[in-house]
Amino acid sequence: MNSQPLRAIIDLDRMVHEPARLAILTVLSAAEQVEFLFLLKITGLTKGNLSIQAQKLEAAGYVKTMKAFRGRVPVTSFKITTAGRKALLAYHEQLRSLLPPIDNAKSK
Amino acid sequence: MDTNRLRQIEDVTRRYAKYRPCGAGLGVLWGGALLALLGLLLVKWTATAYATLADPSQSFWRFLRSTQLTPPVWLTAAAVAAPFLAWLGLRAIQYWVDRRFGTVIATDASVECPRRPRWLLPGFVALMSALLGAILIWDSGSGFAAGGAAGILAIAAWTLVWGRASRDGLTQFVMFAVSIPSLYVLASTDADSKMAAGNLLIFAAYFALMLWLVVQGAARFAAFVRVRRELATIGPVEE
Repeated sequence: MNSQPLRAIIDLDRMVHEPARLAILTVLSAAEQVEFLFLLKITGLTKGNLSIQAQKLEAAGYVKTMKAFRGRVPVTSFKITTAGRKALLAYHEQLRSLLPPIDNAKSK
Repeated sequence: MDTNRLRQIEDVTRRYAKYRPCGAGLGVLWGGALLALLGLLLVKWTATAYATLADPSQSFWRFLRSTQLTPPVWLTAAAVAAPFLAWLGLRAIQYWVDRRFGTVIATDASVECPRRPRWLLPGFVALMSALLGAILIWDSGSGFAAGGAAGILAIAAWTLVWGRASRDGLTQFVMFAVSIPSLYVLASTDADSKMAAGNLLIFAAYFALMLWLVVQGAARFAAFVRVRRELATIGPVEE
């Protein structure tokens, strides 16, 4: 097997590659701003895990967190940053470039 | 992770963001109810005036067209209150709609306001406020209608509030359809006004617009219910 696909797999952005974070970034890329509650429902993650993954994405500069109050209730919302959008696009590109070599290897 | 799954959650997010504004379409019913109520008050007032003031030989329409009728204070107050109540009601309905799955704001404003600049409808309401306010002040022959002018000014100022806060086409149309007839009622508060017949026609036209909006709202609500159902069935991502 050619070492190129292996190299590409190693080069995948681990921050994006993790399923929960990939799901979060995908949801955020489809909207301007998303509330924590919606992310919780659509990803099916637990509150704790969602918070941790969101913090990691924020630390990487891929997500921006916004806190506000709705009446007396605190509401947390998220926004994907330009860096986050670029990272997600780059990840998709990497995956797309990986698929043909893997398919070829399988057929051999 | 499964790419179909990613595509699905992306699509559901996009559709949820698209269909949730204007209380997922339910806000139109609130706007429609307010406009209908204001219209009924106007009809009640004109019918009472006809019953008490009209010549027996005069038809209802001829009476309205030829008699100076100034809207009573309660009708003026209702006209001023309608746009305020409409917006506050829309916000309350939106809050109720968002309570289960939260708020998602759509990325592209063009999805919500196709082919129309965001400030077109609020701008039109503000322009009408300026025109009708100027006509009211200019035409107040036998006495300056301060109440009417203040009401028009209040509606114009309120337009800035909802115009800034909403870029959703349906929401803006609802506020437009409630605000413009109210402005006409307020513009007829000078003592020489003979606008009762015209106001009834304006209400009928805007009520027809509101019925069309109700159809749009119903379609949006149906789409929103489908998205919510889909959202409820999506399984968790692998942790």
